Amino acid sequence: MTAGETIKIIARKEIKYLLREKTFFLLLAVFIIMAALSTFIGWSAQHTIRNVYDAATAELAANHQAIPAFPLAHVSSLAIIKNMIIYVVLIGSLVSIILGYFIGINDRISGTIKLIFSRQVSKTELLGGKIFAITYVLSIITLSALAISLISAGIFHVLSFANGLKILGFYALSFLYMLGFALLSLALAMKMKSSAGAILYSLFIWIIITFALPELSSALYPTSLLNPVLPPTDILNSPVLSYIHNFVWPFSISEHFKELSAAVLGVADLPGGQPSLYAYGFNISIIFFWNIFSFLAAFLFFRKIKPAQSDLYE
Amino acid sequence: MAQKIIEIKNLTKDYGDFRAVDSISFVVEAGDVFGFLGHNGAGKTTTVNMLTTLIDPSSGTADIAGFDLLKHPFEIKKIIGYVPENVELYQTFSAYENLEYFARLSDIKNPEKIINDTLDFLGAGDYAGKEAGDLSKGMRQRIGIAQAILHNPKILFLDEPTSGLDPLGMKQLRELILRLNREKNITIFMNTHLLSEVSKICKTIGILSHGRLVYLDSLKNSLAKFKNQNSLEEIYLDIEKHDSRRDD
Repeated sequence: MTAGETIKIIARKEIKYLLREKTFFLLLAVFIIMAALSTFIGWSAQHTIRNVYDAATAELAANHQAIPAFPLAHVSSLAIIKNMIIYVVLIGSLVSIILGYFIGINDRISGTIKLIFSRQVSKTELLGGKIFAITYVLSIITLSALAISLISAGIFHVLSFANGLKILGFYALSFLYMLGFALLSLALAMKMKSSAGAILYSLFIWIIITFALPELSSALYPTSLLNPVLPPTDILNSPVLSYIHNFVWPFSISEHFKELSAAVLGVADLPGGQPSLYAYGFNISIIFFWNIFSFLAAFLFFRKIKPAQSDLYE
Repeated sequence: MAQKIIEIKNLTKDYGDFRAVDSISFVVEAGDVFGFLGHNGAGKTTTVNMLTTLIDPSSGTADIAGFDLLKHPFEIKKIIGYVPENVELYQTFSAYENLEYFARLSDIKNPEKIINDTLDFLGAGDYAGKEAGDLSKGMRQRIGIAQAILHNPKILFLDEPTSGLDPLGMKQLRELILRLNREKNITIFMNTHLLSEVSKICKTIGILSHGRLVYLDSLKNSLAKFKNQNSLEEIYLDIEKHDSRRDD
């Protein structure tokens, strides 16, 4: 039997196991529903602003006063789906953690590690099968969200070829961002001594990346958690805060993702001008590094599996 | 003369300063039902873990059907079956789905017929569609044995197979092990501390005490040699007592 065949058998089993986990489906449903709603929410917000603007201009016109330009005139048409950036950061990463956790831990919870390794299965093949399953499931999730976004962009008349490519780019980036969480969760599921420890450590890292690092690196940007685009206001006037920002920012993966996603979708409407290509190159490098780090963690932890002692009995 | 199927040569396993298995050497012949006896913590499971290639020995080696343990672990996996002390399966999978997975991992391309035949042989055909989480301990043991023999192994390693079973379950499992040995010509290597089991089904016994092999002979010879003792239990306790004195 070739390594490829073994990996395929393991991956098929992992997907079959996952399909029977209700918790995963619950979170997945939330993510998909939010993907479906995001465009409507974005459109609704813009529509409200438009109505208020129209009412205000009518009033101003009646009073023979100057009419200001529409405030969203320069905003990209894809701004209506920019909420998806936040949904990927908050919910997509969580779905990925649960995905990696279930695929990583099921053999240990079931107590079948010994049986697997009493067969002609190597540690690398077991890891390969699990990563294949994660990649496959995450691809389906991402493609589903992509399809929903494309359809809803079509419904709200903002779908052009160029915008389609931008949305595609955004979801490719989202896939990479979420894959890092799934791989890290997979690694921890194999490393930790208890299943609770595995999921709690994964959630701890999720909190650090999603909330703590952005707080520390952009502590100073009060709206950074809510706004996919960092306001480039010059408020880093304290040397200490500036130092903390400079130190933490390179590791703030979620901010790199938000910044790059906003650029890809064309919604990074920064008064200070667009960041340089170098800055975007740095963003994408960090996201790639995040995946390499997670993969290496999974690889190292799988190398250390003790076939006779790795089952969890809880 | 019977053919050697397992030849253990100075097999040793250390966990830090603790020596779990201490340079044991012996031979198991093809077609045998070998009972590996010993108190809890004697090193029986560690020995089976080494022979099934689940852990590496600290020193020494073994030949399993002509394959060296250290050099050809994957060849050995092809010709052995292994049933752990507690058979654990994927709870949300049916017995059949569990078996299908392990059959495919054993490179069985179209496992349907083999699985059904094996389940019928083990008298577990009615449980094929039941979720593993709903199976009784006895039935899980049978499914555990099924997964171990799907690929028609030459040797079956059983680690405390009757542990936790009721008397009826123990009797049925004993009969099953004997059938596997007689009808499928599988050599059985069975870890146990239940002397009643050994006296009913084993042809050869080895006694492990504190990691050392302290006794090895056929059951028939053993009963003749220790004719003053009324049962295997007395023989075992006598040997264990002797070994403990040596430790002191």
